[in-house]
Amino acid sequence: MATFKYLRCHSLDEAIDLLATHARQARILAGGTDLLVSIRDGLESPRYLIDIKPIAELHTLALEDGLLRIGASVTVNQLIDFEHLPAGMDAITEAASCLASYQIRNRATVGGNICNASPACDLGPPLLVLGAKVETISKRGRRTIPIEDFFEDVKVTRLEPDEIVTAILIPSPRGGVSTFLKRSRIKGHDLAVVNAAGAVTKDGNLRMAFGAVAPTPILVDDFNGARLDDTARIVDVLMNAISPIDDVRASAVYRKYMVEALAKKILETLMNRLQG
Amino acid sequence: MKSISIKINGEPLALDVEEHWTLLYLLREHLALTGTKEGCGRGECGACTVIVDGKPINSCLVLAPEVDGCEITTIEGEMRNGRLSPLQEAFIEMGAIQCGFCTPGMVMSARALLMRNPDPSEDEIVEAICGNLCRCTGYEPIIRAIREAAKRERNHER
Repeated sequence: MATFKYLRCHSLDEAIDLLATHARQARILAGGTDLLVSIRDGLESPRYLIDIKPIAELHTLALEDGLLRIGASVTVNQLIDFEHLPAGMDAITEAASCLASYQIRNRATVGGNICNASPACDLGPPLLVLGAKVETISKRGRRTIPIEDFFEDVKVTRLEPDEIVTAILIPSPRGGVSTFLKRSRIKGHDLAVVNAAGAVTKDGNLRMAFGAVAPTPILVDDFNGARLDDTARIVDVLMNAISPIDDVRASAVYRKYMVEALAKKILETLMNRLQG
Repeated sequence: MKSISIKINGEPLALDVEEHWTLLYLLREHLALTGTKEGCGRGECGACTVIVDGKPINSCLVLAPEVDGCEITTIEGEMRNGRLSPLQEAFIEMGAIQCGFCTPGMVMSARALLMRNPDPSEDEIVEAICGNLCRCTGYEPIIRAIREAAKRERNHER
């Protein structure tokens, strides 16, 4: 592996100071399950790795005034095991449960999954349909970014070079329901060929999101007033929203078929859950 | 170099590590704990699985300086008083080992599972070893071995 300097941070102040000093030469190290692979492959060669895991406040996982706060360093398995998840957030646990393998989920963090910004990231679609916000900090202060504005391009986010994600905030669905589905080449540990999430509010507003069919996970929330059971119209809207490509995992054509297939199953599950 | 203190298979150890070493590299090349294997080196195969603070992880994706203060169990820590554990014995008896390269990681994933759940269902076993690739056995004997070991350990054989 390439050499770098490993910097362990115990406070957010320390982390943003270091990041402001080293900005483009530094990378934030959370779970490391994507970053260390990309360093090993020579795709990036940061001079400094800033380990934010020792910072206590980034491990918060709690319901605060109807808002689920997931600290950036919360691992995917910790999220799955969280007992106080509000009703209607099934999409997030369903996605977390099929993200990579058990070992990876013990290291991989929620913050890392979105900051890595893979078009196929499994937590992208559920966070998009649930209307999550990304809370960040830099020396210039704190801000929150709606998740639909967070992803910019393949592996690129709208984070500034000196900015750190501190938490992901998800509003309680309050009577709404959600679900997630993933299509991979094999049943076990694999990247998504297409992943998808859907959510409906109590008064019937539909949001759907898809991964691995565009440069970033994409949200579709305007279905021209189509009803939930008007599958044909909903699928039409989806086909215009996606722009899949051929790659080693699947062809663009196959991905289009999968978006349609997953969308139909998701709509069915959502209708069942609304009645249940 | 960074100075770290770890507990490895029950033994406290203080040592200096290079900042870019992985835990896997530290175990194999500096502590001569070569039971842990390197397969893919990128978190796909699970051959390098070890238990850190009670949780199974891929040691190829953890840096040595990150485990400062942690308790680490490798396949070398699975034996007790010079005897194979019920898990190791069940793997041998059930034909869960063919070439053997995945076995140390597989046993570590199984050990971590039995630590958190002494009576796992087949689905829970499959979930626990989903990150451990085996190209020989077809997994069935491995799943049987883990079930059998769980049963024996629940009956206080250990």
